[in-house]
Amino acid sequence: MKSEMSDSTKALLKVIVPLRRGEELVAIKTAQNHLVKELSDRYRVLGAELRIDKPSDPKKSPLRMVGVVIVDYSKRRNYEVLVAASGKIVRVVDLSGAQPAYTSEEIKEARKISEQDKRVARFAKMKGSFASEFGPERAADNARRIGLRYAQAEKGRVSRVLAHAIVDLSAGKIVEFSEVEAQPDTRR
Amino acid sequence: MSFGNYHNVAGAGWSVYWRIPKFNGSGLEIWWADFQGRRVMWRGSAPFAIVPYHHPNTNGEPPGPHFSYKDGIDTQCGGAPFRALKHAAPNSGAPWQSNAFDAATDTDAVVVTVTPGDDFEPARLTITAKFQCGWYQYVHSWEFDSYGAIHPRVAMGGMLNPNCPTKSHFHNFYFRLDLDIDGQFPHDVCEVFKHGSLNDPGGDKWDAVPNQTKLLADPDSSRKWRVRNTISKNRAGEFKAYEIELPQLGGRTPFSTGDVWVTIYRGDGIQQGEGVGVADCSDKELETSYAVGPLHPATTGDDIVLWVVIRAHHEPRYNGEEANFLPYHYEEFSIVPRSFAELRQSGRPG
Repeated sequence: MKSEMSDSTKALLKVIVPLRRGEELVAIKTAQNHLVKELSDRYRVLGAELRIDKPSDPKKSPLRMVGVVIVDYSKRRNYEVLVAASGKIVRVVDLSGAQPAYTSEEIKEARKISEQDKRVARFAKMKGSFASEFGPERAADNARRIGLRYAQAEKGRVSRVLAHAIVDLSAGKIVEFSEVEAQPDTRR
Repeated sequence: MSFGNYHNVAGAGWSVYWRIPKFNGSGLEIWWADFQGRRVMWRGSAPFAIVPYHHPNTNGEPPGPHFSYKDGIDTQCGGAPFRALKHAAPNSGAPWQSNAFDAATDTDAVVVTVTPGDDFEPARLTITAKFQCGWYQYVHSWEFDSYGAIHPRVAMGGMLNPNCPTKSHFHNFYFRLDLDIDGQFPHDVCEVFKHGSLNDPGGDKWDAVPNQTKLLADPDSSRKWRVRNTISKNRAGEFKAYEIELPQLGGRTPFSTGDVWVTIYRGDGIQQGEGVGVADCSDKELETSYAVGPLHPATTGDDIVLWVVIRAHHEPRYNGEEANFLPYHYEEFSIVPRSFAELRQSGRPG
């Protein structure tokens, strides 16, 4: 059967094969070593993923890169380190104010911090309560903040969101808490 | 968890790769979409949504002062990321309350179907995945048909906002489209179509967009847009192009201020939707940070990247059909070839 794949895509086939675990680990180690002088002792590698950028010339094959995302909580900076398949650093991108997606480890840590607070613990311990994350307003100092919604389900149905907590992972504490006062909502 | 790899699928005359970069992030992406052996698109994604509510009485969801969520990549204003679900996860509030329906790998989330053409429809290759976003579910779906058209679609499901189920709101879904017509980048131009009158000739015209900028829909002038290559031609000697046909079910608001933004390729790691919403939970950064700078339609052309928004105003049926869950409501637009494809009888390439 005739392939519908273009020659341009066929030229990519070796470049876009799945990321191997060993390749990922090497890229992470390389990125950490490269930033060793800049990172504080409170940083986390959020993950590594394949990164294929378009080449400057369509006749050229793109470079296979692994993007390693690192959040430095103390210095309030987020980086993506691009590592080539050869193990060389291609470039370091300062993500400026952009916050990479929260990892499950970060959410767990935020909940632990949040639920040590008595105001939050009251909601966290309610029957049928559950928490989910949200993105709060960006902090002026670029702190890594996670919002947590505490909601309650009764007989399997969510009744409403009861409280919000915003945890600053950079500072390791709750910076905002608000209880939602329920108002009737029957009309627009 | 295994996310971030590229998966090839084929059908209906297309070869396409799909990818979900992260379990909790910006949703489904399409890469290297080729039709009849020719490159159409480098990458397509729908990385964020902006959802403003009628206000001020929202019971904290969304929070003031803007009462507008930015969901997906780089969430703002109380918005939530797109969390990949198993494709069989129920359309209800249950996946919000529990992780039991989370996709363990990207292939748990995605369904690929190839539907043969019939007496009425072209063949179709469809790639679909669903994502939890707070209490909502969003379905990302890309349909590629054997006429050479692409139909990006998104559906809203899940459940109504539990704190203000009666409140109307807009869903504004933003798509980033990096079309590479026949792989001949960076030599594309963006043009705007205008139907001015029924005079022939001269009633219709295409105008080149001279700068990176925001553009508006205008049904009265049958407005559409296209990315046209300046090098590659079909057998008739016409430049190859793909057109954007954008039906809007909702109008612009102070939070969703345009319909199309013309920008250029600046890499696959930046200008993917990050930073949008920071100032006031609106899309204005697309105009002030992304679509900034010159274009070169009269000389070299450019590597054009378009942002396209589709929107729907949702007036909840909270005492009726949407009381228990939200039946999936789809919105879509089309990316249609002009002088690009050679279709055979029945529109079935073979």
